[in-house]
Amino acid sequence: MADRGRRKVRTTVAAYAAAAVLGVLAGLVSLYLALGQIIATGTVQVGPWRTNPAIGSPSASPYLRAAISLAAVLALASKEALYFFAFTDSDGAPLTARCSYTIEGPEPQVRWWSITAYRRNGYLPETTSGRASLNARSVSHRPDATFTAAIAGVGSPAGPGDIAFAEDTGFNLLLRLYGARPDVAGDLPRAMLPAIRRTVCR
Amino acid sequence: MTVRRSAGLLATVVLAAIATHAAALALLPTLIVGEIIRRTSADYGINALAVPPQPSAEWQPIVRPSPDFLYGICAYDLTDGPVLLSAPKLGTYTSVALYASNSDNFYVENDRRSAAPAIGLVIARAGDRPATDVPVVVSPSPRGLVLVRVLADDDSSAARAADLLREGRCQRLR
Repeated sequence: MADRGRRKVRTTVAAYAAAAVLGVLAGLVSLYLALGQIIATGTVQVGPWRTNPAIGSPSASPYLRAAISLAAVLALASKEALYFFAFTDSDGAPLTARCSYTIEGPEPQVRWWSITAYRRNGYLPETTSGRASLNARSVSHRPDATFTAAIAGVGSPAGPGDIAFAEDTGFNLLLRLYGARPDVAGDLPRAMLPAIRRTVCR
Repeated sequence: MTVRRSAGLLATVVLAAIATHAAALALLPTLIVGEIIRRTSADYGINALAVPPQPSAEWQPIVRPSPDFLYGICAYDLTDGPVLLSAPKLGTYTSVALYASNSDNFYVENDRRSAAPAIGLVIARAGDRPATDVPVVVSPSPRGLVLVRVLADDDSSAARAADLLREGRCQRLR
């Protein structure tokens, strides 16, 4: 009888311990998924670009602060720089180094800008050109104040200023704008940002 | 299994999930920045401005670094008093950003905000009264990070920027 009672207590303790472990895992997984969504969707969307004006700022929500600490820790507050993430091209297809892309649009009216490619995990990829970033100096400027630049997929021909992938990977882009005029920073949904167009795939 | 026991187990799962979610949410930025402070102070010392290699596919100490910038980094600790920071202006985009231990960028200045030849400031705790003629910035946490960004998007400008940036300072105010 006493053995049966002890066995019942042990079973109960084991069941509650398993429930607690399951809860801890559920808490971590739900946070991971929530933080991923915060960056992927943003609060402001312009074409394929996503941002949140509170990035880096003390006014950021706990979720945004945690998401940025995973995705772009030590980001600048928006009064100094604006960050726009792109995980798809302008047609909504995921970015992949199996395809090549043209990036074109109005020249950003800022002090300095760049578009950097990262692997899905947020780290710089291997490129044949040694370049993982397009910027105000590397792109081709047109007379009508627009620019064009290219991202070459693995094995595709590339120009000297292009990002040319050396590894087959999914990727994402981060557009950084430094020294944006206050009217641009204050009206992000109307920001004139470049289009990302897929040109050819392997 | 009784209904009562099932409800108890379900409540345990839900409460553990909520508590873990909330605790991890609150701690994550502090843990990540704390690890960067730990690594920086182990590699370069505390209250010292270091100029690591420019980020590339081979060297990227944090997630999503910009390969167009040369970075100067200083892990500061205000326990023994305010810290003096000075970064030269290099004729190109240069900014000095201060980060609290929870990752907030609580202060940033760039090379165009003043006519002085260098960006200079003192980082202090609330209540400190440092004797200095440069701007005093109060840090919300006793430990944090300084990140100096210098635009250096080609090899020649990067080498020059690294030499000049090493003349900057991050040290306890005497």
